[in-house]
Amino acid sequence: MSGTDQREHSGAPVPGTAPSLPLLRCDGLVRRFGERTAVDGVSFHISAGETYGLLGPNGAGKTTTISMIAGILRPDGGRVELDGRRVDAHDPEAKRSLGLVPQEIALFDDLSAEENLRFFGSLQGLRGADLRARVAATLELVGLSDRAKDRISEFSGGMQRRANIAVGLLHRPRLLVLDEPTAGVDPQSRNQILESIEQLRAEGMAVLYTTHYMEEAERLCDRVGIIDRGRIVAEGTRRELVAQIGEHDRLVVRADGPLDAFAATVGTLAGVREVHVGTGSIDVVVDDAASTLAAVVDAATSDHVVVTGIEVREPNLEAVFLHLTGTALRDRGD
Amino acid sequence: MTGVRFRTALAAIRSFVRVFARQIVGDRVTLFFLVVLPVVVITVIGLTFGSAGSSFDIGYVRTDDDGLPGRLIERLDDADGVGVVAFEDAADLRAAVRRQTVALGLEFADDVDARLAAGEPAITVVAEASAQSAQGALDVVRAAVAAELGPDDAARFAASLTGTSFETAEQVASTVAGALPPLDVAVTDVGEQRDESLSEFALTAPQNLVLFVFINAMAGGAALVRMRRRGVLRRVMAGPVSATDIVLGVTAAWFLVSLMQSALIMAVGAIAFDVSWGDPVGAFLLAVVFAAVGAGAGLLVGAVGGDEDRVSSISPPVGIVLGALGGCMVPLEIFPDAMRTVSRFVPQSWAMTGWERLVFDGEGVSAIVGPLAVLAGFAAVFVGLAVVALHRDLRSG
Ligand SMILES: Nc1ncnc2c1ncn2[C@@H]1O[C@H](COP(=O)(O)OP(=O)(O)OP(=O)(O)O)[C@@H](O)[C@H]1O
Ligand SMILES: [Mg+2]
Repeated sequence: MSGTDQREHSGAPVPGTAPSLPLLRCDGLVRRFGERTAVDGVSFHISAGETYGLLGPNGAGKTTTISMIAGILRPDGGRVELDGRRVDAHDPEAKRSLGLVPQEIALFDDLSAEENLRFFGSLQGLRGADLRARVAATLELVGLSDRAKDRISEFSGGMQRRANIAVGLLHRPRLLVLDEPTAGVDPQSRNQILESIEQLRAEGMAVLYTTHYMEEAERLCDRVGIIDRGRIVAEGTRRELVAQIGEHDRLVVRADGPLDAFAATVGTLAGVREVHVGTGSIDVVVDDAASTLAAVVDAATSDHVVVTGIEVREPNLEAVFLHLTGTALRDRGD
Repeated sequence: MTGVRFRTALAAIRSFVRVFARQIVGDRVTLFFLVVLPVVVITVIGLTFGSAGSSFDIGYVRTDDDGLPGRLIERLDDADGVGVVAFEDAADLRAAVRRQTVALGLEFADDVDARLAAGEPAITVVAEASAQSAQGALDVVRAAVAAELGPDDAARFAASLTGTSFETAEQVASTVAGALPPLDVAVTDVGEQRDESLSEFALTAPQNLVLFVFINAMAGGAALVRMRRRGVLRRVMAGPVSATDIVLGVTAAWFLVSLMQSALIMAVGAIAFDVSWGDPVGAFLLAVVFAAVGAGAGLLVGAVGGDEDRVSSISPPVGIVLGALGGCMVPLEIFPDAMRTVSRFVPQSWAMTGWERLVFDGEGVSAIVGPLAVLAGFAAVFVGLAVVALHRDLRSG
């Protein structure tokens, strides 16, 4: 799980694009609304096939950043490049490799899901049998095949969200940009949405995902940028971010037997930073809980220690956020 | 590159046209206002107008003469089933007679009593000879003149008739002459080229065409407000289309909807109610340019409106007021001068002037170049303002 973990994209490579170039590059993006600077020098990049999360509270500037990436808002400063091509008003073609799922349900609610998809598909230049096939496949992917002919206004909130996502996916973009796609949906729909995104990710689609739900960022994203008051205050994999604030994963191993010897053995294992012996348990500070766990259990066996329980404590992005901004992520509820 | 841009713009136009058509067909209320209501109104008004033979209005050019003219008007006003309408000048009166707003018109010479005494024609009767109500009105006028003057003086009453053909005018005139011998009849042919009489529907169909096309186009702005509010337009911008493509697409869609409604009203009028829309080229151009005006108004309302419900509820009353100002309710020629000046700021009045020249006067394209140009100007201003507003809206986030 890192930024170098790139996957092959199924689509044909764009001619003239060096493979080393990131798919999306944002450079010093600035956007003001009157006196307020909503986005204040945001830079990041996303490689082909990578999933990048933009995590931040309400009003942090996530939607404004995305609108500049999608060519909807003109930046007051900085630039956006998609596939090595600058996104600006005079070259709308640059946006062909982008699919946008806006925060609001941006659909014709008096038309059916299928009709909406046909409209947006035809704007992407899809026609005829190709368009029909894409519409059907996309509805299938988001689980709306049986409701294709129903009006959006007759859909539940979760179904509307899924239809909203379908429009962004229709033309199989190389980069899918999702702006809080799970806001206000029930857990079941949310899970369905996250699963479809995981599937797309597995197929090699790059994803830019904004959210203020830490669990989603942790579950989906290769890398996360934490954005607050228009600035990216930290960026990296979850582990890198956690390490950056001096926090580490912990394993609390409850066990019977010679704990001191056990602790000494564990202390020699790769990826183990510290070991503390307590009463009936040892406390292990590690780089990465998941990869060290098996070795710790093996050590217990060879040291004749009976493990009665293991607790994995991974400091989460919430802690990182709290540390970096001094505030908790606001509005985390539905 | 340019080829791709062109194709994308075309795709945008096609997509918007299709989606609007789909929305209209799917919405019964819109469909009703767009298709059913205009046809019903034309039918009802046409039938009412056509069966109004039992009561009618007589028009006259306003006069201060309280001699014979004053007494005659008073007497006519008192007669059962007869109303009198004053006009500012002879041209207005003649226009009203031609479109049969009044059954008959009276023009008084400057010094009626002296002329009568000298045996000269003193009163000109203006009539559309083919109109059914003209004959009855002529009888009423004749009776009133006779009652005022006594049979001897009434004999010097001169009628001047305008009509579609010289023969019918002469025929009506000689009927009058037979009833009031010896009558000095001066027949005036004002040079109409129209050779068929107007059906009763023909009089109101242009008014309704202009009225409804505008109201519906304006109310259609609500759909644009909804698209803006729901973020659909902004989302479209995230695709490989420019703001200009979007504006083009939306404008084209609106224009085609307006044009289709015009075509429908004109076709129903022509086929079901025998309405003649005059010179085909002129009628086509006028319908196209006015559809563009309507589309521009709808776009503008849609581009600046903040609330779709407000747009759809405010459009009919505003459209009706503008329509009334533009001569869609009562004809322009009975407007007082000040009102008529105001009406020139309303596109509907130019459209009505155009239709009057085509339908009532039987003239061709050359006679409506002025109105066409003014309407094209209105369309350009509306569309231009809407484009600026839409661009700004799309770019503001
Ligand atoms: N069109 C606009 N006009 C004025 N201010 C705006 C506009 N759009 C955004 N802002 C302001 O810019 C800041 C960033 O807003 P933005 O929508 O990008 O935040 P966000 O991170 O997407 O928040 P949320 O999680 O609530 O969606 C906010 O203070 C917001 O009020
Ligand atoms: Mg947002």
